[in-house]
Amino acid sequence: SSGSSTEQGKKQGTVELNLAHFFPATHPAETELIQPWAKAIYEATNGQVKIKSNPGETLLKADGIYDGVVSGVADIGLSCFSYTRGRFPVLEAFELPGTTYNNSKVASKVAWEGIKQLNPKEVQDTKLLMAFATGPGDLFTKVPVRSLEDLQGLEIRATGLSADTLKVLGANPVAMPQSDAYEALSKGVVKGNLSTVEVLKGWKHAEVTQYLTRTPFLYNTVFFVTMNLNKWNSLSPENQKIIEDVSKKYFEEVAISLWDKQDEAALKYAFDEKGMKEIKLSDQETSRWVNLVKPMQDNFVKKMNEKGFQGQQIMDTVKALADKYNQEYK
Amino acid sequence: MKKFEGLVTGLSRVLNNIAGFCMVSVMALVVVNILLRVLFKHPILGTYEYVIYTTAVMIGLTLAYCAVQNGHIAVDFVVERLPLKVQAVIDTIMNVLASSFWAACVWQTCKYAQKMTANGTVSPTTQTPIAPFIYLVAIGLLALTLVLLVKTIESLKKAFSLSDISMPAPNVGAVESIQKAVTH
Amino acid sequence: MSPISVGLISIIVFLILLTLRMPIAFAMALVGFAGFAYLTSPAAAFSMVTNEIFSNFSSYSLGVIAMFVWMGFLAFYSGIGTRLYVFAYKLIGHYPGGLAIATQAACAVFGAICGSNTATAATIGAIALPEMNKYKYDVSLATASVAAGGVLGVLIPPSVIFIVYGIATEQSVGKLFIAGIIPGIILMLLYMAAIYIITSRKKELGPPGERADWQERFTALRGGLGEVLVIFAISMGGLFVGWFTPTEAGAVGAAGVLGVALLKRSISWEGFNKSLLDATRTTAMIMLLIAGAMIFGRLMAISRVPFELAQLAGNLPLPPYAVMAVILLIYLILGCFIDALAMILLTIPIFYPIAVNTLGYDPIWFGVIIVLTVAMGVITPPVGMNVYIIKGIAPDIPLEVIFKGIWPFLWAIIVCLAIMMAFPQLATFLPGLIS
Ligand code: NA
Ligand code: NA
Repeated sequence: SSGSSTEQGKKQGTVELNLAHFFPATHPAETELIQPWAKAIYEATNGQVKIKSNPGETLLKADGIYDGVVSGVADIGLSCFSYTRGRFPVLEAFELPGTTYNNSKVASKVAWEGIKQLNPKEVQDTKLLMAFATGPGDLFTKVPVRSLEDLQGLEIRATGLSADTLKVLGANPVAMPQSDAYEALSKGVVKGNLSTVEVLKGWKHAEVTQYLTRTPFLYNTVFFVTMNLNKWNSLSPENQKIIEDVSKKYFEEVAISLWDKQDEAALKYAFDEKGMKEIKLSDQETSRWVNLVKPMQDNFVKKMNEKGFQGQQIMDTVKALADKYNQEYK
Repeated sequence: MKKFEGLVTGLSRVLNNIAGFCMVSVMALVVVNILLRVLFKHPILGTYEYVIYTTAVMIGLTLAYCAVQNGHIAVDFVVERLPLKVQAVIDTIMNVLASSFWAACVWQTCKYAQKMTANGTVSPTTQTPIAPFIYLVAIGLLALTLVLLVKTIESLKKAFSLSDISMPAPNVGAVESIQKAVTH
Repeated sequence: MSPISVGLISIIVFLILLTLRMPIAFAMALVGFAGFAYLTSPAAAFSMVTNEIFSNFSSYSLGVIAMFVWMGFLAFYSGIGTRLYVFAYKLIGHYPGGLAIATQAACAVFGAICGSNTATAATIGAIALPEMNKYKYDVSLATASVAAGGVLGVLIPPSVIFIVYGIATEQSVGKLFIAGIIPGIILMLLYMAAIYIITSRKKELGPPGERADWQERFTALRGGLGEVLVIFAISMGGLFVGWFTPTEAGAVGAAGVLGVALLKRSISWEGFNKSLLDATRTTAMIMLLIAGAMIFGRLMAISRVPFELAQLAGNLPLPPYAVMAVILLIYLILGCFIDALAMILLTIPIFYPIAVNTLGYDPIWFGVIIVLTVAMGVITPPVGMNVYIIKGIAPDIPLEVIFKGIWPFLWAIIVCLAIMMAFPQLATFLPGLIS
């Protein structure tokens, strides 16, 4: 039926939308989320809205995607909020350490629900279609990290918020781009990485690290799929409704579990094929770590209050949602 | 006119000297960071960010002096074969196109920096504001535009009179010997 | 007008501006901007251009080029390069083209520290060109041999292009690195053979000198090779032991050369300043070219020219080797206009599934083939990044003189490609051992 819907679309005028993201063309974000989502929109709008994906930074670099969508370089963009630090002050709350997310479903639900509730000014210059998250990240290292003591002075690759987190924990954060991390890990310039475990397979870090310490309270990255406002407003209300509905469906059915699925595959690869060893922290040890990173949330509240935001209210929203969805998705 | 020319060349040279200083700083910073990391296990966390922004400034501030030295390479074997007058006309048109393009880029780069200030974008790890570095690149582009403006006026003069006033091309060091080889 | 037509017209306009003596970087940026503005809006195009300029200037992986370039000029102004070439000349200068042959070895050895073809060409160029000129080598041969030699920098690990390919295709970067070693050595030998053949036929291209006796060679060895070995040992050893990353190796190399030069008191304040002047000029030229190429690449991306071309090739009803030949031909054509990295990112999503999933070629092997094809792209006109780099180091040598010298090296790459096609094991054997 897609043939006839194309014909019909041509009659009524097809809108072609360029979508920019940074994931490789083979990444599930492209093959399982963006492509099927774009196809569903194309079919549901009878071929009136055609989304063309430009993966692998071919249209915009990762840190330029949001502003590229604002100015119309791309019509739609998918990237992380944290690539442009300071640009999304409120949304940093979702990535702060100290909040436990059981999995990417929880983290995604919290982020998207939370953004809708808080509706911060910083994202109102585009039409946000969905936000989803990686969920918890873990420490993967060349030497075993079983306790805080093992972490002291250990060189771990991290940038942005994660660097602050590691510093608080007593590690030695080394900032470098993910593209340099493989070489640095392989030669031991750094001894570990704090990231989602997807990296173990996607960036082959399992080839160069041996231990995996589970830390579901240390890390989270939130992604957005967002559209240029003028382009959005130029669409018919029917097509807008369709895009919102399709996005909602793909958020629920694909996006929120995207990282869980990848993490599962990556862990299988790391444990079964590369012989990595898993380390689980005891409850007592976990609370030592959490106690150290908690002040980062207090600092956030203080800083946000100074800037004239309701710091505590933002943090409470995140916590309430995390409690709710941690119950729902164990 | 001569005065304007001298002024522009002087400005480019000053900016280039600052760029040279940036080059030395980047090298020193990277090496010191490696030593601190290997010997004392205490790297400078911001190295990665300081290096990339200093490098950006270094490149930006060199653009103009590079143009003064005719360092932005071009294909000249076609135009070379045309009469001098035609060459001058073509050069004028190209220089006008290029200088207006870069002038627009100066203005847009400043707007980009303004936007970065307004929305509070900082570097991810050290949270250093990025805008000042973008402004410095804009200054480099402005100097490049001025150099191209001088070149426009020069080629325009040539087109009308074919009198030879040219910007002094400073010595290009490493390659002198090769140049000689080519000329004989 | 359809995006494809805009893309094709932009290529033509770019070529016209190029022939009208507009600096290449300016022409790419200007046409890329104009085409992008036409397809989107002026505001979007300006946003794209300013973002590309700043983000390429502040790119971590590209920034290393600056350090390597400075290292090359420091080696030249401190006489380290000269002493190294005196030794090389005493050793093999009595063969026709001996110094150009030695330069290929230098590129290969340097390629073991440096992961970028641009930086390899620039660094070795700064050292080798004045020396080959001193010994009356043909300018065309000398410049082209360095431009082509730069490619050894990305075949021999570490390699920026293998990293980009590995990430785009989810292949092991480690395996790709190892896969590049044998083809890298083969290409080096082919380059050497090509130089030997053409200079044997026409001796004036690389005039052979007097054969030196072992006494002289030993003296030259002590004067020249020691310091290079020290610098190389620090860079290579430090990389191997894990003191620093390949991206940091450039700064270490520059510091190493400066340190040795200061210890031996072989660099003057004036020489130091000149090295900075040349290094900043060359870096600015290279980086603006890269930014221009990226801007033009963004236009290509939204105009979908590479995409359509690639799809065309994929749908051809031809036997596998013929499809592969068409793919390589398309890379050769695109390589004439688009920068290597941008080209890989734009085309891999289409070609990789065809080559690996449909035709059943080995993904690691295909990576090596791609790097070799890209190698052709960076030395062929009109857009040949490595040739431009050499032009930037030796501004008064006309571009066409360098391009004229490219032929033997182009043939060497084609022969290397043929060898890899005939004996894929040469690329897949070593990586197979580590899995
Ligand atoms: Na290399
Ligand atoms: Na080419």
